[in-house]
Amino acid sequence: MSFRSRDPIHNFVTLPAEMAPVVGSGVLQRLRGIRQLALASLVYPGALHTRFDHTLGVTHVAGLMAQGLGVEGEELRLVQLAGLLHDAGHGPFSHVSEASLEWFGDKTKLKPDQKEHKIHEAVTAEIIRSDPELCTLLLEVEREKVIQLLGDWKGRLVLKQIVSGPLDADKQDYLLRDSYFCGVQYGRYDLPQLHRSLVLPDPSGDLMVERDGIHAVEQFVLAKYYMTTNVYRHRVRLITDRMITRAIRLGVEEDKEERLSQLYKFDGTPEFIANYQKWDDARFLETFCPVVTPPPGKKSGLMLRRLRDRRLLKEVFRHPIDKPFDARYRETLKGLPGRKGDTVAKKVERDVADFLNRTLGLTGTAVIDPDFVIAYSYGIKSARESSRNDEEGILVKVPPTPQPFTDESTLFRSINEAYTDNFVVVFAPIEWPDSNQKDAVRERWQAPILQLIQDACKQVRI
Amino acid sequence: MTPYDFVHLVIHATGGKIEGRTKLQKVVYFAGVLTGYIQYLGYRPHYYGPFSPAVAGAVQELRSLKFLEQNTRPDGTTDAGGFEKIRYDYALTAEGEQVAKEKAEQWPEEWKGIAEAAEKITSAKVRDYVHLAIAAKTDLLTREAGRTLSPSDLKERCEERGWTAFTNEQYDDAVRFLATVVGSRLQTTND
Repeated sequence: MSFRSRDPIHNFVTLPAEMAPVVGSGVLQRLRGIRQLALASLVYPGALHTRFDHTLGVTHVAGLMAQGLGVEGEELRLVQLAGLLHDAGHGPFSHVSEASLEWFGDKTKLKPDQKEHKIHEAVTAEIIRSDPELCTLLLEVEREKVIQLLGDWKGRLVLKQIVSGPLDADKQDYLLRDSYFCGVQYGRYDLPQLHRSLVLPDPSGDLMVERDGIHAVEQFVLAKYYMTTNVYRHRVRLITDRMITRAIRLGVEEDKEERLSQLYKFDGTPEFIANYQKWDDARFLETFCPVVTPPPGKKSGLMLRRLRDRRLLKEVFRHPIDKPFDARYRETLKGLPGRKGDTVAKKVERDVADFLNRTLGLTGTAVIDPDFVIAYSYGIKSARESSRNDEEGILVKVPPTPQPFTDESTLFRSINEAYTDNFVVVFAPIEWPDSNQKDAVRERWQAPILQLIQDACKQVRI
Repeated sequence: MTPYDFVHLVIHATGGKIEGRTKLQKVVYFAGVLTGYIQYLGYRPHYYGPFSPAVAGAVQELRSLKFLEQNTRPDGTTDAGGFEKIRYDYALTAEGEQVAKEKAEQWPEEWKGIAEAAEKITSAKVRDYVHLAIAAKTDLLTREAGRTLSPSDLKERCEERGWTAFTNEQYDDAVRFLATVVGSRLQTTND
């Protein structure tokens, strides 16, 4: 008996019937309220799909992959359960919450076996371990195995590689799903052909691709690259994500909003986990920026109101972290989003606010608050590098020994891997005086803002 | 010091150049073993031996900041399709060297340990990256076992990992390398 659900990507997603209660559990149902791509709908209006849809898709794909590779019985069930529960720890606005957990959470409160993990991974593990409803549906031994498979797995490699690896079910689903809901074609690839070419030459060894599957992998890797450059790193999406993150920070640090502190200051307690599971996107927005009544926090409320009204910050500066930035400052700039880069980021934000106030002649209530200026950096991997995430590369089964996909693919070995770029950007709450002139204005501001950033790095370093 | 800084300093300590992607992973592995930093590098078993996503990420990061150049060249062999296989060579740029020197001054104790480790690995004159990879696999398996392993024990554990078993000659080479570099927990095939 199977549990089947209609799905726009896979037509039907199919799971074993005995997993239906897990799908119906509060842990999974909460994910219906968490959008897969946070506020990407402000640029791609169709991007309203949720972590729940994606979770079902991942479980379906993981099952297909496993069965195609001869994984069955308890191992198949384990892989499917890991698919169902892999996003259980997502908070409001998906990855935005991860960044805030890392910023505010107390890493010393992680359990000894979680010290190398990110806080959101620990939160996922704790939800699987301790959620009262899940405890009635799954045996402890099974929950612990799922936690291990999602974390430090010591068993058969292929099980891990289906759940987390360069060709995992997660990516296979989200590329197609995000592409579909954003209304773009960048994330499309031939999933059945990719599955047909997956092989497991040694049952205890690595998942590999047959040589005749190389083109399917090329398509998959390019899909990931195009989705990253066009959707995941889209300028407006970066701005909306940073605006939520900043709103959370202002709420905790400036507005002293206790409910935000309780949501993001991970302390390892069961109370933290229980509270965390009560939040989704809608509750977050309605609590911290109600539709009708004034927000509880002054600064966080103003930032969130801008998001509600789509009055987004504008990108006033963008430059590769390369020359003319001094080599000694590049690591600092790359680290701007983290705690280590915060002193520099804050100085840049103050100085750019001053610069914009002077340049635009802003006075009185129109003066830009430096807390609403965001200095940030991010990177885009080359197409070639996109074939591996933080994982090992994809192996192609060729005699006498398997070879990396990037060497076996004629297309990919001809791509210059050096095209990996990091950028420093500054967003600010301005309105372009004339939108037709904004590129020219940005160009005029480039040199003075670049100089401000260099000076900030220099002063903080000294 | 982060894994990124550690990798930067290891490459600096080897004269700023490492020939081969596999060799780079294994040199950093043994530098980690010798300095005690291995626990922070997150090495795990992979087809080509111990592999660290953090080290791969650090290499990528160094390249993206233009501190490390990657050059590809044919390694003199061909694959089954008749194409020449590619070797990836890494070299710090002048800027990468400059920043590495500053890091060496910033962490003098750590730098001393890394420089000594690099010297030890280089002076062991391992034949090629295949032998270095075998030595790393051997070390990882014995580290996991926490005891002396015989060749047959090792063969069994290799099979459990899905790794091709080594020949006796390769195994003995690995034993010699490990005895010189990290102190051995292994029996030679003649024991």
